Amino acid sequence: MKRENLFEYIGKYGTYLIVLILLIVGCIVSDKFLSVTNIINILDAVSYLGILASGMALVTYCGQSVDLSTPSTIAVASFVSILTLKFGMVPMIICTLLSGALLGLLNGLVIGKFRINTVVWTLAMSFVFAGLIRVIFGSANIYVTEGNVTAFEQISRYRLFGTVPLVVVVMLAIMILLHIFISRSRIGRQFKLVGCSEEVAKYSGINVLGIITLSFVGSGMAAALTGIFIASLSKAACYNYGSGYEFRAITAVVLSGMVLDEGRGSIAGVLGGVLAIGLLNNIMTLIGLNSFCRMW
Amino acid sequence: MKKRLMSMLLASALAVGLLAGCGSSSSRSTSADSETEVEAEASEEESAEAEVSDNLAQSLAIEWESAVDNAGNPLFIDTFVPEVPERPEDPDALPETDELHWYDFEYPYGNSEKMEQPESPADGCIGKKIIILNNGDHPYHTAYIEAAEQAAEIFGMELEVVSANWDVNIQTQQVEQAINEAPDLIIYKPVDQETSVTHLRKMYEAGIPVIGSNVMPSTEGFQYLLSFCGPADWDQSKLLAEYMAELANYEGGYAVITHEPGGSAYYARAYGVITKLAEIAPDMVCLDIQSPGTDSAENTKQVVSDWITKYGDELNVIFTSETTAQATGSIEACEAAGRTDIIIGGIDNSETALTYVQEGRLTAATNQPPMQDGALPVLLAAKWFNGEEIDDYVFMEPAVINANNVEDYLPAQW
Repeated sequence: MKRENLFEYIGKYGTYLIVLILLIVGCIVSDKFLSVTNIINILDAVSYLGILASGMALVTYCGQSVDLSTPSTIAVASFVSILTLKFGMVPMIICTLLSGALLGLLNGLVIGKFRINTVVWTLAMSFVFAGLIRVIFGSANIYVTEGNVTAFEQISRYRLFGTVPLVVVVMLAIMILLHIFISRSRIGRQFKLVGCSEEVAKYSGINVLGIITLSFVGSGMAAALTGIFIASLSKAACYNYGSGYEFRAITAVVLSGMVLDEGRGSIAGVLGGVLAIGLLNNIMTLIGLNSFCRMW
Repeated sequence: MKKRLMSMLLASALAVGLLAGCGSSSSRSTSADSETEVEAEASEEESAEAEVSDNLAQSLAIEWESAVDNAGNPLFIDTFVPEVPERPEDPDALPETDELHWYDFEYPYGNSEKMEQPESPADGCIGKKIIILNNGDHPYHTAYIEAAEQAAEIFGMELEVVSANWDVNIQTQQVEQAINEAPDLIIYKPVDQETSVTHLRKMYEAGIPVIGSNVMPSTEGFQYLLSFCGPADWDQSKLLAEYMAELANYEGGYAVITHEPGGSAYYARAYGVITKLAEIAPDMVCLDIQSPGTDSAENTKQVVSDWITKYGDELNVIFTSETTAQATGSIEACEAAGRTDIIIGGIDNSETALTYVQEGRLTAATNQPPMQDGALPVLLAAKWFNGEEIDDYVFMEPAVINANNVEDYLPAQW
């Protein structure tokens, strides 16, 4: 294998090398580490992050750095999900995903059209959305009282065959779909080209604005889906739901081998990134290191 | 041009976002009319004195004891002044399981030599202006502010609230603004214990009386306070520890999920439990202490799941430092692992907690009512304006909420 190819391969899938090392360390640390329960716990713990990071990876993949508005999108989604639950489960899911898509659309259009710095704009939007929630709801929690409360609570609690949490299945399904979309579809290849060089993409006839907007819409919808799961788990909505998620998602995306301003990396790598975070957290608790000392 | 326009838009958006949730400030106009004629001056003085006396009489006549919160519970509840033990020579030399090791954290007011405080105007609380320097936005503090506003209305005082949104730099600016507004009194809820000293010194030097509330400042900060009031964090965690130890038959392993590191609640709610259990249940073993944060149920769920994997049947009791995200995460992890035998106790009384206690999924919570917490400093301020004696520090009586008495605490305040 040529040296260039080797580096590219490591860049793309090197995160799985970290996962492998962590698996070995975990086995040394605890004899219960490889138990089915523990592995499912790890997957369960990283699934919310995995969904969010998959969406954010689209933004990174098409060269737009990171989407820092995701915590507020999660918070908005948690409110929308609880407020629209009275109309039924399906309308609730549609409305919540739409709210994420709309916020993503706004980000995408402004950034794509006016070429504003992504970090600055999405961070500003994060403050604006969080501020608006606090103004409207007065920093108070809202609780699930209307609609099919039991079904809503089950979204985050349901386990397939009594073992595998639904959220894990959703995360894996999203990652598989996005991986195929990015690596096999025509639009997916356009994401890569826009990420590598917007100028080249533009002169190749690609709708650069459309691709950038689509990436933010994807990120917003992923954040909204995460918001549904968080609201279901907490049975409430609060303005600070989602805080801290953006940086963990960035860590997962960077670990995946994606370069923040180039169209490199893969969604499969993102799974490796979130697994590495989950394994690290698990091992740290198993060896008794306080979570406060951890930076992820 | 487009970029410039968008930059301006962006800057406005940032400003709106940052300021959202913060209170508005209003200017306070002062007027000093100069009178030249001596007779008019004398007559004015007389009428002013009569006005003061009238205002004081009206203020003292306010019927506040019967006030109730929005759930019909008394707005002003019983408080107590704790007895302060003698400080050991070197608390750090004592083991962490000895409660005196935490002397400076539990009794920061114990060895604080109070600076000379402004004298009470003793002219009545009606018409006085108070500013609350709130530490941040949170459902608990929303209920707190609601009650403070209700109490201020009862006492006929003008109340302005500004929130630092958990940012110590913003609070520093707000301290300056508050001093410039020259209110009659400030109610101060610090974002950060260490910085509180600087804030309190500034307000003291400006001659504005300050009542500390909800979060304790550092030992040095206490000297500048007129009074302090708030939840008895150490007492409620010790009370919870006693209750849970009895249920666990004073044996088995327990684990603690802490509050956000750095704040007074971090020490009180973790080491209050640990020191009490070391004293009354020496056979109970502290397996681990973790700080997964207070706003993510998922993080707590992961930590508790990992504990169950690591400790198995050794883990019998879990203490959480709050009852929304941490209680939810703990309950979900235990239920997912089929470990409903683990008993879970949490500090405070959110709606989530009371529902869990009713459902039997949370063994116990503690009573820390935000509305009464918010009304208390306003009551102290009113008393002080009326010339009444107020204590240097007062705390709300804690209580354990369990399945037998949860109905008494419903509906929840936040």
